[in-house]
Amino acid sequence: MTTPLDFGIDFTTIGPAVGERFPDVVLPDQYGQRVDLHHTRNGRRALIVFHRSAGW
Amino acid sequence: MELQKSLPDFERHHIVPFAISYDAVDVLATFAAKQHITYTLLSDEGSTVIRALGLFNEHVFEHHAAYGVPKRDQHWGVPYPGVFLLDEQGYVRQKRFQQSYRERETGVALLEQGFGLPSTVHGTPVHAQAQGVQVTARLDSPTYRAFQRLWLRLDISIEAGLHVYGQPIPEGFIPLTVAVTPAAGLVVGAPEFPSPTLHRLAGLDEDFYIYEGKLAVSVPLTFTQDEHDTVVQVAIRYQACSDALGCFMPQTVALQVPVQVQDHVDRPRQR
Repeated sequence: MTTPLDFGIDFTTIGPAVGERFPDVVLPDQYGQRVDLHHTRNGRRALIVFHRSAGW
Repeated sequence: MELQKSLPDFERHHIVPFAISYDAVDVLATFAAKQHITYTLLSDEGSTVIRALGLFNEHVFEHHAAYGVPKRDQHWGVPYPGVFLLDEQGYVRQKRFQQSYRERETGVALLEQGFGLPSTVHGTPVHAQAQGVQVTARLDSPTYRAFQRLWLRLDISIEAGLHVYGQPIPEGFIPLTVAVTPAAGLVVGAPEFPSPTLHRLAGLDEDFYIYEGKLAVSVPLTFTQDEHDTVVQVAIRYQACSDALGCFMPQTVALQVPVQVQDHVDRPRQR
């Protein structure tokens, strides 16, 4: 079985670009609390991880 | 989830992780409780933010087909898999995205390769030495699972007074190279070297680029199978030289870096 890893997608043009301010995001967390990403960061560095699903 | 292991390191370096998926709050709550996740998981039910940010994965069915995964409507709405690294002002400093939704990096990689900060957790180091050079090799983690990307990090220490060559290099000289032996189920990426420094030798008009002192070389490894505990075979080739004494014979340092299947360690595999 082949296991392709490279589909040739150019990620430099997908989503917020390097050098841009990451947009404001407000979403509920796992406790149902509203989280304002930049407000919660409170001047600290951050990792914003996008992943497929916690359910499958 | 793997990121949890690096949480103390992220906290120590004042880095806040957020994970965003299209799951409902209750799915995230169940997942967090089961996996003992304490960092923030954000629920973007309906993929509104994912779409607004331009991260909606349009290729998911095509990629599933490539892996032989049947098409399911629930797969539509996932983001492209990857991580944004933000600075203190909230600006994107780096994007680390994977072509395959299956491939993932570790928290150690985000810290060390992404932010350039030291991690306190990683695989067991393996040491070797040869003429004028000492090498310590380690992976991001002592364990692996399928489609995980682990970085092999080589800390190379060159004896004082000696140097090794980087690239580009005039013909007939031996540069520092790193080779990982190909193996079934292992995809080896291009090694990342730091920039060497320009070195001019009296009497020669060719430019040489060299390494002195300490340097770190990193090689991305992606495991596409996780059937067996395995050993990553690494060979480092170089020629050590000194301006006063000339060059020694080229040397090869070989290292064997063991890595265990995560399933075997964390839980017995159920068939």
